[in-house]
Amino acid sequence: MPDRWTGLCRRLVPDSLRERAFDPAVADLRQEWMSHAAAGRGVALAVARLRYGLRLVAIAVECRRLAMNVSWATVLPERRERRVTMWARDLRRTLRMLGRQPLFTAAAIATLALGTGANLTIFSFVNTFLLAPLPARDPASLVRVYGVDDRNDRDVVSYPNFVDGRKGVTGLDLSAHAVVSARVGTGDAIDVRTVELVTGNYFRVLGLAPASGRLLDERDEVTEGAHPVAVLSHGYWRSRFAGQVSAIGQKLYVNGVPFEIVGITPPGYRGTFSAHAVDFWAPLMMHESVRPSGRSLSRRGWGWLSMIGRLQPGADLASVRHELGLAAADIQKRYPNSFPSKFDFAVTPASAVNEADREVMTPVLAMVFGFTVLLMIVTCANLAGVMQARLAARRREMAIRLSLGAGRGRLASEWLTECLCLAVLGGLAGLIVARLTGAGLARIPLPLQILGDLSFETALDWRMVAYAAALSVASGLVFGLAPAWRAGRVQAFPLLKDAGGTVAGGRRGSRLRKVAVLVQVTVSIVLLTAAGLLGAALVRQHGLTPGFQTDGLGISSFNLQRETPDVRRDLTDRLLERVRRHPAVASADISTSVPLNIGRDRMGIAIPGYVIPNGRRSVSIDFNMVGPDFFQTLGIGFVDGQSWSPRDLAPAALVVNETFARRFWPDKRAVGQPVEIIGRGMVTVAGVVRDHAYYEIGETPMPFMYIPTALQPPGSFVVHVRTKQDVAAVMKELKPQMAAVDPRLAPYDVMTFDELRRVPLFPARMVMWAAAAFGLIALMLTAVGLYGVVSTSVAQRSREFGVRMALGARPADIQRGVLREAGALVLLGAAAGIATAYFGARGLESMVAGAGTFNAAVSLPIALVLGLLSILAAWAPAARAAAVDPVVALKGS
Amino acid sequence: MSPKLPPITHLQFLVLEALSVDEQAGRELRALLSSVGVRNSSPAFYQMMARLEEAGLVEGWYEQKILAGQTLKERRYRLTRTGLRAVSDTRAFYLERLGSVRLTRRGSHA
Repeated sequence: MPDRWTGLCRRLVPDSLRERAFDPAVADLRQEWMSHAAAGRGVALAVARLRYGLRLVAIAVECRRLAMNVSWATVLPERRERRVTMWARDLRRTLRMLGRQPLFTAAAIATLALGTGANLTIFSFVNTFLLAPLPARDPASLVRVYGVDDRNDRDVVSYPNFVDGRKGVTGLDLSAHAVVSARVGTGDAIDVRTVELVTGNYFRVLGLAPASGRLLDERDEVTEGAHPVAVLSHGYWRSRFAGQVSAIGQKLYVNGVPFEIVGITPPGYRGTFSAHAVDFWAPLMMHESVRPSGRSLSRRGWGWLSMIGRLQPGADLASVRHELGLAAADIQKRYPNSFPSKFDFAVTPASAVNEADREVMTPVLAMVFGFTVLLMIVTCANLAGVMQARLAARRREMAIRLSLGAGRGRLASEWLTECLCLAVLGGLAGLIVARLTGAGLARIPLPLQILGDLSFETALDWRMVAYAAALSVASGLVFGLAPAWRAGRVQAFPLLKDAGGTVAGGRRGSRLRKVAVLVQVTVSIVLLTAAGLLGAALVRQHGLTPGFQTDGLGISSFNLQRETPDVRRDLTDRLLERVRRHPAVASADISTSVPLNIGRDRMGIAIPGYVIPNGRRSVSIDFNMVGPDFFQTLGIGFVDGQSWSPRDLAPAALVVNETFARRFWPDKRAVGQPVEIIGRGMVTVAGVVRDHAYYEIGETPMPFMYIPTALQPPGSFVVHVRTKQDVAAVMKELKPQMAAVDPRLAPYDVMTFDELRRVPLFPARMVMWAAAAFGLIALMLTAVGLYGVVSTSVAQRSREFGVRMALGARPADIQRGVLREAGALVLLGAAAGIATAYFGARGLESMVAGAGTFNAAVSLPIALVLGLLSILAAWAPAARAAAVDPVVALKGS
Repeated sequence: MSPKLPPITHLQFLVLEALSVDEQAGRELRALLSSVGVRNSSPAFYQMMARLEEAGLVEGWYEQKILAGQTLKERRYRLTRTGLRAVSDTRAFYLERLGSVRLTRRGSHA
């Protein structure tokens, strides 16, 4: 190998120095290499080879310098200066040229803006949700602290445990917080807002300074229920109070309780979890007003607080862990009943993403980001084709310049400059597109039930700008390198001699353009198939029946947790009476949870005579507290027995489902059997209803029981309404009527059941729309790209068409031939796309059940549409080819 | 008659001086130059040696040697008669100059 390198390098050396300087120098180098190579093996040998190669090149370069008789000290600065001047000249020339062709420039920038804009939009979500650090002072010294027990190693903790932990640790300033939702406002202007309840030292720990007024501090953490103050987020202050300083001192009604606004947080701060935008902060001591639960802060078993702390100067993670470990051991020793087996604190460096969000968002963002990368590939392939066509069109000009003495490197560098210029301008436009799209998406109302306070707001920061710059340069290189390489290889002589075949516009150039179209067709098919498969699976999901009738069913949520049981009962009765009076309502009743929604309520029961495996005394069963008309409203039929009448409280009765009855009384009739509800006493089964889907359609049947709401009026519940007419319109009419019953009844999440059913599939729908949108853009670009390829090919082959027509070919033959070639290209791309989609479809299964199975019925129509579009795109150039006049074409040569 | 200014540079003198003792390989001569702080590149050194050869001051040839079973060659040099004269002339010139400097100094002290 060294001999081959030596031969190559020797050729670089001027003749005068080959024997005089190069040969003896290389002889010395070889001697040195032999001693290294003999000693080394593996990596050492590879390194020795590399060194040998580099030194060989250095010797050759040095020989050239010696031949020129100049010193590096003068050569380098001159060369650098010359290069800078050249770049500046190239840049000026490129910008001038792009300015002279505004249509081409605008089209190229628009194409790039679509590709980079989509990519940057999704990156802005990745950046805001997954990459951005905590928006606090010195985030590196912040840590999150969790409670650890047998079941959970990242658990929330109770206030007493937090206080004991805080007392036991000296190396950490520890604070606690909990994000909750609350009804804010008065009268008609009530909306649900995100509130963070925090300890007094929370803002100090984060090192934040107020934008106006003051932040919460230790004086707000003294007495439970005695600190009705609130600090607004900058965003909420601007949207609700139009950014007026007079907001400070005003009252904010939270669940009807007035809170005095005392300050505004700095702009950009929206809570410690990046995906959840908090609207305002209130003292933890006010938890009962903000999030009524009927519990006291001092309850040690009530875990609901997250913790965040700042390491004190001189402290490290190990010492803090040790201190918290001792505090946990002390808690466990003092309260053995609360923590029988294990209790500890876990400390991790703070990140702005909580684990639950990461689990939900990572697959969705990864998939959509993957789609944008595919779109970016289409964009680059499209522009590579366009630049090839431009190169073909300008090959004569380049040949003339080459023959007048322009260097090949200069020509290549000019092309690369043009591509990079376009890429940077496209990147800037993409950044604007991304900001606009991001702002648009942030305004989409998100379904509260699943996403809670999740926010789509994104920020423009240095990571976004750096990514945009890197993406622009990378895309410029991807679509610019091939044309630049070809520009450097233009052959002047054959071009000037004859206008026919050339290197740049010839077979290789056209092959490259064809490959570009092929890639675009493939990616378009993949994207559209992904959208199609997701769409089909979603439609299928929607078509599945959950075991009850969802058409004509509406729901509305209420929260009466601050009211006494008697008031709850009275308000619920009046509410239901008002709803049932509506002429379009067939039936209505309440329940504590809604089928097919997230969240499970479970209760321990024991059945006399039934031996529970593992020696346990009770078994946990999922339940719903429902009113007597619930089954009729939802259309859940009885198999045996009946529901309880509204006032049927003695004896207490229970309704169970078929699986429940089969499991516990396989040989007996379930109705009339006794069931012990742990902690509440005995009840009797009054009826057995059909199984239905409780959490998701297609789940394994599970035992389920219904407890009458009459036993204990629930604090928060959902009214189910069966309507005789258009359910959406009826629910819209009912909303103000329900609110008018009593000011304490504030309906929220008023929607049709079908709308609710779509909520868990929201991420899948988002991914589907993203794939569809990107797929359509890719399809358009592909059609334009194909048009360009066929047009250029027709223009270049006009002489060939002329000859063929002169020899007797009919125009229709020529046109068919051109269309056939375009069709073959699309067919090949479609086949590659379908094959890729076939193997890649499995990745979609995690989004929605059934989407991961490739379905030809989805792919083939897409391929057909693409084929038709391609024929349309190729039709005009094909017609031009057929219209070639043989005389003109042959004379033109 | 005082000796004339020698036609060789101090670097060339250094090389010729080393060769006046015995013939040497190019690598050995480069090692010598580097020991007195001359950091010439290998091609630059051999270009200088080629010039000395062309001036007839040294004679160079390749010598074969076997290392790890492989035949290698290295460029070796020896001083020609002209070269030897150039070394002695240069040495005489500098000694003469050195002597006159000493005398001048002594004279000024006197």
